[in-house]
Amino acid sequence: MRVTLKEITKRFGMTVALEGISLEITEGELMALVGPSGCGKTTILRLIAGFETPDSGDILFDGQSVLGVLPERRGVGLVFQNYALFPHMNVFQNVAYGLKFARSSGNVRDRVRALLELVGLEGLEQRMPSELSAGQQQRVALARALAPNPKILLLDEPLSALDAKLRERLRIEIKKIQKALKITTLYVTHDQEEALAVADRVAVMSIAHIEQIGTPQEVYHTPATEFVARFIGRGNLLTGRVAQRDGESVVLAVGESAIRAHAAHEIEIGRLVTVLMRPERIRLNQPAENILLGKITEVEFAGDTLWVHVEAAGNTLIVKANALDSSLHEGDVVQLGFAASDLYILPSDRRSPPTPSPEL
Amino acid sequence: MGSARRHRTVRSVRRSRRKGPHPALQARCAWASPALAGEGVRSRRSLGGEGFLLPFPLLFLIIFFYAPIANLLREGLTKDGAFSLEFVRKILADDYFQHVILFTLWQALLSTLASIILGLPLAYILTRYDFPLKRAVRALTIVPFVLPAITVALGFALLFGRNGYLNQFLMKLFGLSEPPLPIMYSLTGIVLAHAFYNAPIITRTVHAAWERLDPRYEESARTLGASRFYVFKDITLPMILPGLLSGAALVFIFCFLSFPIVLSVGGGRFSTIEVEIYTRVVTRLDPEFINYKLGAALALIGLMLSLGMTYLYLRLQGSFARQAEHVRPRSTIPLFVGVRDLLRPAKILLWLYVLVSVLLFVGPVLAIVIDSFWEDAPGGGRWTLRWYSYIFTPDYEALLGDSPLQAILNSLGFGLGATMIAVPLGLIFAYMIARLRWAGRRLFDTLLMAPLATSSIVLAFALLRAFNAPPFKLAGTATAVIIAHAVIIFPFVVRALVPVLENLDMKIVEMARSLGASRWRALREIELPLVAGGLIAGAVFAFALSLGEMSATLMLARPGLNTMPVAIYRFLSQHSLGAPSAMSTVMIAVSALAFILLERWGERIFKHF
Repeated sequence: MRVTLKEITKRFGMTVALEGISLEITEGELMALVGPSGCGKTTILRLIAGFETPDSGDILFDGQSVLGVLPERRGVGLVFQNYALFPHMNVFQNVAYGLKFARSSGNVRDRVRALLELVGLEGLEQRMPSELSAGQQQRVALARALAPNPKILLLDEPLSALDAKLRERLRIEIKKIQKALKITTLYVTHDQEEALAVADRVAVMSIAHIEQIGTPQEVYHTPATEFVARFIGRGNLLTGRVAQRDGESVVLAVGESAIRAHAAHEIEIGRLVTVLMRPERIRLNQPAENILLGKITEVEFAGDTLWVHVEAAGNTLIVKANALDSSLHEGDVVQLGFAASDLYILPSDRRSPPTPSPEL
Repeated sequence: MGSARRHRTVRSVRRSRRKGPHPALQARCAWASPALAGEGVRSRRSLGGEGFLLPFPLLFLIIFFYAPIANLLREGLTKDGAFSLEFVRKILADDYFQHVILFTLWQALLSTLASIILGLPLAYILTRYDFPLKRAVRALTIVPFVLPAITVALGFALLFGRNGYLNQFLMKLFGLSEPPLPIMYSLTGIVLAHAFYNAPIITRTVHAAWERLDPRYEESARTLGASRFYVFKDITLPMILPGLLSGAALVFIFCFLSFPIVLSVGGGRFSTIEVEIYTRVVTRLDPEFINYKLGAALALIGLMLSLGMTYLYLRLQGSFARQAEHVRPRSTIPLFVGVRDLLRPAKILLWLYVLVSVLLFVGPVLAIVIDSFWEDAPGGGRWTLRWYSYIFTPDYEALLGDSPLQAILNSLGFGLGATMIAVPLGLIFAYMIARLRWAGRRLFDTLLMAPLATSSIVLAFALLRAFNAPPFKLAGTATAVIIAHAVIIFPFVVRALVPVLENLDMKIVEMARSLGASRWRALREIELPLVAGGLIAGAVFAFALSLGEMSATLMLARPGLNTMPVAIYRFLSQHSLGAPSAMSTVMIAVSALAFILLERWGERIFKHF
């Protein structure tokens, strides 16, 4: 089923929760909705589920407006962050609860068993929710949501209550199940890494707005806005003035250095632009199209990676280096090398000049 | 964190399936409302230097509660010094006593049902709707804790009596020659007065349970296809039911032990276990009760029943306390949307409920205040202050064997005395409960259970027996009354102070000590300032309870030891209404003052009620 949100606006009292949100989730697609907490992600989910009504705009399932359709008639499966398993019912009763109201016939017992098998919890039918680990509870919640064969699955921070290792395993499982059932899914999360890993497409939200919708690669490599560039992944944002232009190739003045970059969009000479440089694109002490000289201010050891902080061109840049590289020390002078194609100039028309943030 | 937490969940709950909730959890939730479980993980430690204070409240309880009660029970269970069930058997085999015991249970059951019927809609309205003064209405549900029961009885007499305002009004309205509503001196009257007193408890517990119910449970059910009706039946109701049941159990216990209302509203026509003991010992001087044997046996039976119910209540509380977590606040909708909405059938039902509630809850109090300024005179009546001047003059009143003013002074004096005993001792006791680990905490909670389940009448009966001979000849002295009050209010003070102390994070104290403060300095400079407000609220609560206490006082009272409630009862039983109205108005004013002082801390100190 295809889910379409058209120009949705929603206010709670004086606060605008959503403003002019448009979004389409295609049949069988897993879309991740990612953004900082309080940006309105959950409100979108609740609108689709039917617990909130938009102040304006429309919500369509397969082109049919569902405004005014009660939550229990929308055919939407829902998994909450706290799972909301009914504490007074055992696993079987929880999963079977939705089957009570489903028109479809068939043996309830078989259906529950099949679902528990799907999520890997065979044999736990008689357990109470409180006797399950958090990971098991999450799986029961998923099985329960899928039981009545919903056409749309809504996941509200489904993994946020779990520890990191389990989270990584479960997100792969969720994706597998989603693909097997080909169910249209909206996956709400505040964790950008999770969103990139799990989704077919990602919608990035800032407060009340959608900043960009695209594949994980698109939002990572070609962020539409500075917000997206900062929110997704680690990155260096530099501000430079366009000094020369030759077709797609431009030269930017960044601090006292000149950097060659590709411009995908029209930019006139003399204009201030923001450039995204991902840490893994920079090579240390190797020949390259662009070379910046810098001084190491900090070396952060993260197991498989070294995060090297380098002061260069008036900014503190983060560089991802091989963890085995033992030649990098605080205070060393290094060469940062990168190609013009390693840089991405953000479309700057709708943004004011960025404030440099060394935190990224 | 994930796996540790998981393990804890799995372990603790397995235990709870096998044999009910964690025993310690149950015990500590005694008389408690639900919101406790979340605090189970707060840092606790064993006692340090403060442990030497422990003997004081323990000795107090043993000397003035456990020993006298044990002594009384011994009387009921022995004959000529040997163990014998003769007296217990005699009570149980006697038609009349059987009737008394069954009536005690029956009126408690009816009163509990009436409290539920009256209290439940308000819990729903408070949870679901927004309306002006909602906060005030919610706060007013603590009023029964500070309003003396005897004033309720008086209010009922004034409003619902044969010559009461309601009957007079109806007679005038319909031109009747007989009062149409025989509520006073009937079972209906007792049940309604109990409902007045206890419906707010139902409202409080159910509202608390409902508000803590995460709306996501209901939302999950709806996306699974359940309509509003099924969501309520399958999800909401089962999940708030433990709250309702534990509130109902508490109300049942209160009604089972109720004395002033049964005595005054029942007008001597109805006898419960408490009323029976009182009338036989004090008014009829029945030798079989005066010599304690049969009376002690009846007290024993009553005590066993109320202890059993208290235990049941604790179990309910335990199962209830399990589910506490991060709860998304519920959204509410306005109650008043427009004039047309007010005429919908559902809203008309609501108006009916509001009307009944106002009549039942506001009516009696209003009747007392009006009556205290009113004097019947031939050919009508007039406003007057003479009742007030009467109660404040030190003239001898034969009905009391003393002056009304003395009763007022006694009330204040006894209240202060009892508060000064119960609050420091209760603070130490509450501190032990709040700070000790499971086993110790369980012990202290259990120690508190019996005083809570014992009626004031039985306690006074036991004190009379224990202290009527040298070296401790206290019977008939003010000291006896003060001690009885202190014992009666002690468990309530503890229950009120535990949440106050529990709210204090021990880490703060540990922080102060790691910064160099000594244990005593940390106590003085960190803990005491943080709990000062709750402590004052606890003291106000204690004083209000002592002020309203009538049962034990009536048992122990001698001329010169009357208190305001006792005086009101004596006036009321002679159908003299002006003076007790004035005195009740004074008490209502004091209660209102207590209410205002408690309101800020009410949410906390009444958490366990």
